Amino acid sequence: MLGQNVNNDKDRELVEQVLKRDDEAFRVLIKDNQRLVFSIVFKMLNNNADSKDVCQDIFIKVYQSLPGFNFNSKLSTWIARIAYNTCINHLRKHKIQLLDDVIHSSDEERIDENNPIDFIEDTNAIRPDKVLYLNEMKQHLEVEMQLLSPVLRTILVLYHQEERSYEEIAEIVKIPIGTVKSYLFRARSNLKNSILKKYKKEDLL
Amino acid sequence: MNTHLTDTELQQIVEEAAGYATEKQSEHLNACSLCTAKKNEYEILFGSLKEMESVLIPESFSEGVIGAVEEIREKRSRVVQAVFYISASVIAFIVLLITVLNAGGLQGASQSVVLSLCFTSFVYVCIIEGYGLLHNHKATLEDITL
Repeated sequence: MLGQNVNNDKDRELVEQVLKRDDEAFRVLIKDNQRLVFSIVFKMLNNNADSKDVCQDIFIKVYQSLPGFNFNSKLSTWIARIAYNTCINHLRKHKIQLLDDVIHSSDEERIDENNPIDFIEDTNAIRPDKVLYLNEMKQHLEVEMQLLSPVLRTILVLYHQEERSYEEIAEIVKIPIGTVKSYLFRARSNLKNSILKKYKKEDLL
Repeated sequence: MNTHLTDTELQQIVEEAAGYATEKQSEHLNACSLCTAKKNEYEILFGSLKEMESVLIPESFSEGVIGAVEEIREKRSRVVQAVFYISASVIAFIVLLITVLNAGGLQGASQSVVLSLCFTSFVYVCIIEGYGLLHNHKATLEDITL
């Protein structure tokens, strides 16, 4: 709670400075939040060529909308929300589906539970083949992530990379906390299963 | 606990670290290689998700944004300027018209020349500044719309 107040005070001070047209303060605001904005935009738009321009537009919108920021949430959450809304508008303009069937996928997609892959059982031991496996896994993960819907990708990135709480994600994406959890659990489950499925297929070749 | 742990339970255990598992769940995990394997898979997935490569941010990004904001500020000041010129020319035209009419009007050709000159200047200011205003207003609206 104390940490949140400290953050709020820091946010308030920074916003006041930016509103006084202090370019240095605005530079600090950009630097503090650019990673978050880039993560959201690049994941939602799938590294689309427009992504950098969209990031710039987001910070311009932040600047223009700042007088209306009422400190009901953290500044970074508010900025993330603007980033998310901008991406949603961009995707809608390009008629890209925001949420796909992966949320409602049935258990048919699950791998055969009686045949788990044995080479990942011993995760505590660091072996050369495991390092190789982890690197490969990351590559597969990137590919599989791109197949997820933009909203699911964003929720995964906000939770795992940006370490945002369920409450913050719910505020950014404007869905109930329970739905955030459910999307997150389902997305991870599907992600894991599809990666394992791919490994099994490749093993057969 | 004989039934296997669900995917949700396994994810919660991985998410909250070992302390989250109940005694029964821990017992089951110790005894069941299938659930342990699935838990390990989730541990790897969670680790990989966290370590996914972040996007590279161009060094000049903040400068680009500040430059763009500066342009918008200029656009806005041009809008204010245009509104001022148009309002001033409208007021000047009305004042002149009232003055001429109150003075009983100018005679014949002189009246036509003065009024035509006033009217032409008024139309010129309105067209030039009005165009600039509309053009900037459209661009500004596109920038602001959330």
